[in-house]
Amino acid sequence: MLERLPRCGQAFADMMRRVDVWKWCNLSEFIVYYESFTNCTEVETHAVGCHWPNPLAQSFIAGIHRQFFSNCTVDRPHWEDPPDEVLIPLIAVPVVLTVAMAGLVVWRSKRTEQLL
Amino acid sequence: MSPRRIRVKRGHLRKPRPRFQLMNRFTLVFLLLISPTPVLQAPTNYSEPTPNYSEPTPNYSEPTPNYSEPTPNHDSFLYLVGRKKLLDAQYKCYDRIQELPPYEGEGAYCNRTWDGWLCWDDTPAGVTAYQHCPDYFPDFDTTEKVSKYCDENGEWFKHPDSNRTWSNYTLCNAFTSEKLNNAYVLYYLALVGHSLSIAALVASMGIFLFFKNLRCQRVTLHKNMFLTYILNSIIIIIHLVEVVPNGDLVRRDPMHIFHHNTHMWTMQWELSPPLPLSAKEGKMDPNDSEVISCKVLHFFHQYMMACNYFWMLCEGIYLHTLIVVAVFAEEQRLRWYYLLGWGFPVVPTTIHAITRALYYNDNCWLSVETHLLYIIHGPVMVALVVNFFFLLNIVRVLVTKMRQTHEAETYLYLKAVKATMVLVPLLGIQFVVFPWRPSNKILGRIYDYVMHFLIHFQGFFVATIYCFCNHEVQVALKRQWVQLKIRWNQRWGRRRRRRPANRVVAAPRATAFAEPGGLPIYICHQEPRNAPINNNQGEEVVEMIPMNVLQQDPSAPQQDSSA
Repeated sequence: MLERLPRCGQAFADMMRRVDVWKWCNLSEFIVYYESFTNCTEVETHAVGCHWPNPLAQSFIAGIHRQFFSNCTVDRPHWEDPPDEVLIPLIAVPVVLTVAMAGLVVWRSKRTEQLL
Repeated sequence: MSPRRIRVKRGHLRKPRPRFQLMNRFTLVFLLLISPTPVLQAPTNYSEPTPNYSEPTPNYSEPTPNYSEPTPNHDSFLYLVGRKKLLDAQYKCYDRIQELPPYEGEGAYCNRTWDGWLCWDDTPAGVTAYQHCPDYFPDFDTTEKVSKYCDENGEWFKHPDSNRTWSNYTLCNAFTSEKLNNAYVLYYLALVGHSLSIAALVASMGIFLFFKNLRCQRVTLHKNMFLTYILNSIIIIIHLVEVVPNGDLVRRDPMHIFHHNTHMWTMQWELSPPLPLSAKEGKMDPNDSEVISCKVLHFFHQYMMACNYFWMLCEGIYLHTLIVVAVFAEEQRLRWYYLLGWGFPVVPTTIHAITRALYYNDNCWLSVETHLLYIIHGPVMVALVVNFFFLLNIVRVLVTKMRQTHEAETYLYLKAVKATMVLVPLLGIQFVVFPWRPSNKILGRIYDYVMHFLIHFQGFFVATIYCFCNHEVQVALKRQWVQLKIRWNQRWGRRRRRRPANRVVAAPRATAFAEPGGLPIYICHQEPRNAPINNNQGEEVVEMIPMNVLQQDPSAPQQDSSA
């Protein structure tokens, strides 16, 4: 297996050459190649009668990652709430406005005769 | 006046002119604003040319044919999306394996690993690690847990049968069919509830618009509130109908929201998971129109929801002003109510939309984990609480008056307020009870059904309580029915004795207006006192006279004119 896995790496490297370097950190750009690479490692692993994933394959794939994606900051699609200093006024303002509007409506409907 | 002339006049007045312009305008604008349904398409990245390996191993080319043609088939699409998520997770996992600092604990531990589906960190020996099930497959429930046991030797658990490292994913799809059935039942319950609500609300709107004698300010407020309910139900039905054929309901467990969020009203949205699978799901470039239309729809949904509750508040304020502040003499200006009911909800909804777009711009704005939702929910809850206090105050004043004066009139006001008193707790109870969902399976299911029933049939309840159960409405309907029967009989030339029919119709009319103070039971402000009432009564009298003439009952018309 150790001899055959590098072939997958080589094939992957060949494919990645088609992709612009600045796109290497964006998985969507080369996901097909990544999938082929993964399938390749799976097949090679099964060919020698081992299960996938296994520690050897894992370290190999980790090596490939180091080679290609070490400079990538994986942007997490992790959305965050704004900080409290922003959030609390954002919530408090509509609440206060609600109370104010209700009061305004009550007051205005009391004073209809003056309005008229 | 001779009966004949009155009959002619009656013909003029009785020509029904349904006025639906306002409603038509609203629905038209609303429909125009909704973008066309986004079309599901396989991600375009997959149409890239298939890679060729230098080694001639045919296995690699097998998966690629799927990618070269975007298929509209949902199964393969779901497969593609699931596969993409899996690869994405794998990519992130290997990155994480590199990035995480080395294990710092003592003793044996199992190494961080990618098990093919999920990423596992370094785990101490003897500990079972848990994670939520992934969402790669339609039948995986993401609320269930995956477990992976690290044994005392620092090795991941190996399954005894195959002797390979094994994570326990069995719970992910163990209960799925049962949950799915449950989810479908609730889905259909939602559909039926909203459809029934729309039907009931449209019928009551029709009644309020058709019967001119029912017109008054309070009914105007009712009509506006009904309109918000109708629009809200329409939005929800559009979502429910668009979602299920996409198979999305299968992938998102609606029950999940019960466990994880405390926002009942978002449940109405959560039942309809996002349409555009492509949008941000796997960090692909979403089709802009899909994303925006989804968010616009979400915006309107939130706006309608807020309008619902603010119109309830308007009703409460109106009653409060009418009864407690005791300005029965003047007609209130409704413009402030319109402002509060239609105009003000724009404010929190817009603020939420802007901040959501800036800070938490997730897929379709569907996530309920964010506190930004409180921007809308806070004012809504405040509106409910304020409404509740207004109503308590009304009841207190009325009860005090009753004790002091023992007037039957006060009792009538109490009866009129009864409708609102029933409705506000009905709407509000979901917020009170919701956080306490029982974890017991059967109780939990009962709870789900009851809550869903209460929520989705809200419009129906509102229409029933405010319109169909209303005495005046029932009287007007009965009278109309009798008139129709009479006309029908006249047309077909059958002479019936009209005496009993008149009595049936005359009596409720008399009692309705014979009440002290001339205030009908549903507290309708009529102003100025003399002219409109006479007009209304003039109408009734005009309607009544042909029958009375035939009945030759002198008592009935006199009663009417004196009230």
